[in-house]
Amino acid sequence: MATATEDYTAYVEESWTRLFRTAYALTGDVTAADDLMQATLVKVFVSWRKVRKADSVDAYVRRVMVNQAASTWRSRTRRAEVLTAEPRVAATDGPVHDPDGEDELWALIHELPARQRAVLVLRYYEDLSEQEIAQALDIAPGTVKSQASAAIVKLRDRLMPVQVERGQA
Amino acid sequence: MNEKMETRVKQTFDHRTDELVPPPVDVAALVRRGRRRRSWRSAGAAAVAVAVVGGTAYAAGTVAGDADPDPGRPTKEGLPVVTGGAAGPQPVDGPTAVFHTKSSVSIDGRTYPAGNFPWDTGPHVGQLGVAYPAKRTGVPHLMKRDGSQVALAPDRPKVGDRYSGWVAADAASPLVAWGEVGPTGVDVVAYDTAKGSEIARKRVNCQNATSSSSFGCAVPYVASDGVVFVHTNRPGTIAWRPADGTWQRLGDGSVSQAHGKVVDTFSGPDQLDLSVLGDGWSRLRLTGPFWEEQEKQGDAEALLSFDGSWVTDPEGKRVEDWHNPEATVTYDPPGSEVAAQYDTDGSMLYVTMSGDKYRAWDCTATARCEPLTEPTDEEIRLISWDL
Repeated sequence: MATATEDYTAYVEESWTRLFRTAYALTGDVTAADDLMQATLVKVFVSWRKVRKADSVDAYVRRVMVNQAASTWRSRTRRAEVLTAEPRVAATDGPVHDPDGEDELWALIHELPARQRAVLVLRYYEDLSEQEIAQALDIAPGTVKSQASAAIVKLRDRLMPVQVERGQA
Repeated sequence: MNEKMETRVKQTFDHRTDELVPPPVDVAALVRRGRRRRSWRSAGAAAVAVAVVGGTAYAAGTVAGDADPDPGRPTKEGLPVVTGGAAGPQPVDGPTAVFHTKSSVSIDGRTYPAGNFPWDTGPHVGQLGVAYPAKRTGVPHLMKRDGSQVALAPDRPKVGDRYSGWVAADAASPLVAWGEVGPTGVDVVAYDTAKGSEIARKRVNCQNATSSSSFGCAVPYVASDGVVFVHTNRPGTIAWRPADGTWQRLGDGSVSQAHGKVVDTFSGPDQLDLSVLGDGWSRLRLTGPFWEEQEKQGDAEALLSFDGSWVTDPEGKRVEDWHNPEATVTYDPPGSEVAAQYDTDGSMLYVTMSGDKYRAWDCTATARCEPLTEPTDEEIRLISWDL
């Protein structure tokens, strides 16, 4: 029978790529995703004897990850704020190599509040049910629905003016 | 419109993540960090963390002897490496080589049955022995340096309905402190282990007792040089000097380590006002290329030496004179290190693993580490002096 460490090692090696992509979807940045993975998997190791007995190890790890991400976002938000004299203006000049608007959408997704972003990742990337998302984020299923809706509306509202200016709408 | 946006969001996630090639994973490094965290957490040092920027450049020092292109790293197996003329932590009076397993507690080179000693984060080493909450009951106890275990309080607290499950101990005096927890507040109790009597108690009323942790709304969690630091759920830290009754709120930060210098949560430049404590106290905030604010990474502990002059790096193998960052000592206990702690005699204590075996080591700045135990299947934990 494998030791707990061997078991953990096998899990991490098997799931690294999949989990990293989720971390990347959550953070929008490879370095931040790597930080998130490190923090998540160290926490998971500390509790591995309990985690390995869980009905779904992935669900447990995902829960740790989204909560870790929320925590990291909070701290980064405090430290990364920079005051500028002018409000943010979407770039409309110069060549645009984003015919489908995915770059812009990707950026806008990662400007959303942490919980809304996590809901979008779990719903549209992980394809989780509202119930599963609610459990992962420790919120009510109704909140999942409202957060997802608010996020989608916000993305639509923010994306539209830019694309109108680009003549894409 | 919303449906269309949902589809675009999904496609964006899929396209972006499909393109991504993740960096390789170093599982062994994750395991090492996890073991260290587990052990340090169990050593009672988890509540307040400071963090580092891993792998960043470090102030270069001079290796004793010839030049070293990578100062601070051991160049000869097992030998410590000294930079900047560092002498390492200075000795103080107190129990030495304190560590425990589930079945035993070791003090001063002798090993005793654990008895009612708990396997959790509550024990702390004080001047006269290890103060701890008894297993199951939480009643504050002291394991003296001769291995005897004495209760410091009755089975039922004078106030409230349970003890706090955490007994703070002062490395520089016989003072220990605990909480007596009730539904509307906590009595913080200061006790003199030399005289065997209560010094004083101070009431902290709870604003919201039902949402408090198992500690209640306040827990005395660090005792140092006659001052008890009480963490409250407001949040913040209160300093209490039971000898004269001084009781002052220091601010919103939390004290992590305190030996004349206070290490706090590093979460802001003005979190703690130590002026109320009088001369001899100051705040230590580690910054620079090596130490960063807690938010940066968040899971390594800073350990402060008894003389208040040395801090460990997050790996625990290197100590640094925070007055002079070039002065470092890097120890090299054999095996994969899982825990580190200062010893009162000026050495460093380590627990390492080789294969599945644990082993405790005593390391000085001038010689190879000496084993304190044989390799064992039982997990070995060091016991911290303060948080």
